Amino acid sequence: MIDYYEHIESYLEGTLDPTLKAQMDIAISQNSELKQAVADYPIAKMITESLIENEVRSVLAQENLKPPVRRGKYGPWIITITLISALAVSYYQWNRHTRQTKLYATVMENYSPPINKGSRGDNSTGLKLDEAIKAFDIRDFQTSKELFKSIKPKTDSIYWYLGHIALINGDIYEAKHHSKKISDANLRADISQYVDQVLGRTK
Amino acid sequence: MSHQEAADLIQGIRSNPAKRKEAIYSLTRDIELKDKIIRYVKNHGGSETESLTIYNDMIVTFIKIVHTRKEFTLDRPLHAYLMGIAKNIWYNELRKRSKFKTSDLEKTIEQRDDTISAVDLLIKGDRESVLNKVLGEMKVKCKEVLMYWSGGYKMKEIAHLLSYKSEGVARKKKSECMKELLAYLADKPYIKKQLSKV
Repeated sequence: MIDYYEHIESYLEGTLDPTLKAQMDIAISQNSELKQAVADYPIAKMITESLIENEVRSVLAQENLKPPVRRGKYGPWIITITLISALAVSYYQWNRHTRQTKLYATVMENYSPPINKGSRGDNSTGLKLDEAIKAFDIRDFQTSKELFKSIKPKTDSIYWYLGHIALINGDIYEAKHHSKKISDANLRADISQYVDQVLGRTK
Repeated sequence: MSHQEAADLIQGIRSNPAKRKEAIYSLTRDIELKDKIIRYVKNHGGSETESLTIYNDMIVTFIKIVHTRKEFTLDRPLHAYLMGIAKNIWYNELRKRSKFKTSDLEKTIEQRDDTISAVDLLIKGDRESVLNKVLGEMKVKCKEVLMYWSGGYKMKEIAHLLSYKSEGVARKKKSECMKELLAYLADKPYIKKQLSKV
C-alpha cells in the first residue's frame, strides 16, 4: 500500500512519477485528510525549517547578549592621567624620604644617647624600670625598648628613653610621637630638638 | 580566527546540538566582531539595540546557512563572511522600514554583499509567537528528526546523528512526526491562518 504522505513534497514540486501522480490525484479526491495534508504541507515545511532557528535563538536567549564592555571616550585619558599622578606621588615620596634621610644623617652625626641616672624603683615595676635603664646604658636598645614599652603607666622619663631609642633607630616619627607625650618642657626638648631639625626643614 | 578554527566551528555546527551550542557561544563572545558590527550598524542609521539584534540575526543566519547547505565552505575569512551577512541583514531591515533615511540606505546598498546568498529568518515579528507556540508543543524527538530532515540531511546521516538503529527507523520517525504536525495543523485552523497571513 502506498503511503501518499511520503510523496506530498514531490507531488507539490511536480517531480512525482506520472503514474504515481495520477494515483495520488485519485487518492486526494477520495481522502479529505490527505487533501488537507497536501494543502497544509507548505506551512508544515516552514515550521520544520524554523526548528534550527528556534534552537539557535534559545541558546542566544540563554547567553543573554549584552553590549561589549567599553572603556568610553575618555577612558584612555583617565588611565594616562591616573598613571602619571601615581608616578608623581611616588616620586615625591621617594624624594622626600631621600632628603629626610640625608638630613637625619647630618643632624644626628654627633648625637650620642645620654646615659641617664634616672629614678630606680623598689617594686616589680621599679625592677623592670631598672632593667630597662640598665639595658639602655649598655646600649642594648632593643631589650630596653621592649622593657620600657611593657611598663604601665608610663612616666615622662620612660617617654624620654623611648624617644631616644627611636632617634637611635632612625624613626623620626616615632621619636616625635614620644616627645609629644613628655610634659616636662626640658626633657621634651632633648628629643624634639632633633625631630624639629629633621622634620622642620623638610615639611 | 584561523582557517582551521573556522573549519572546526563549521564542523561543530553540523555535528550535534552540544557542539552547535559551543559554536554559538564562541560567536557571541567574539568581541572584535561584535564591535565591528555594532559600529557598522550605528554608522548606518541604527541604534545600539538594533545593532545587537543584527548581531543575533547574523549568528542565526550563519548557523542556518551551514546547517542547510551541506556543500558550504568559506570562500573568505570567517569575520569577512559574517560581516557580509550582517550588512545584508541591515540592508534588508532598512529597506523594510518606511521611515529610513535615504542616505543610510544608499550607503548600505553600496556595501551590500551579493555573493552571500540569502536565508529567510522565520522567527521574526508577528510570526514569532505563533511559531514558538507550535514548536513548544512538538515532541523533542520529532523536533530533532524534523530539524535535520528540513536541513537536507540524508536519512542515513539522521540515523547516525540521532542514534537510530537504521535509516529505515529514522525515515519512519520522520514520517510519523510529519503526520502529527499535519494533524495538529488540521486541528487548529487559526494557527494556519496566522502563519499564512504573515
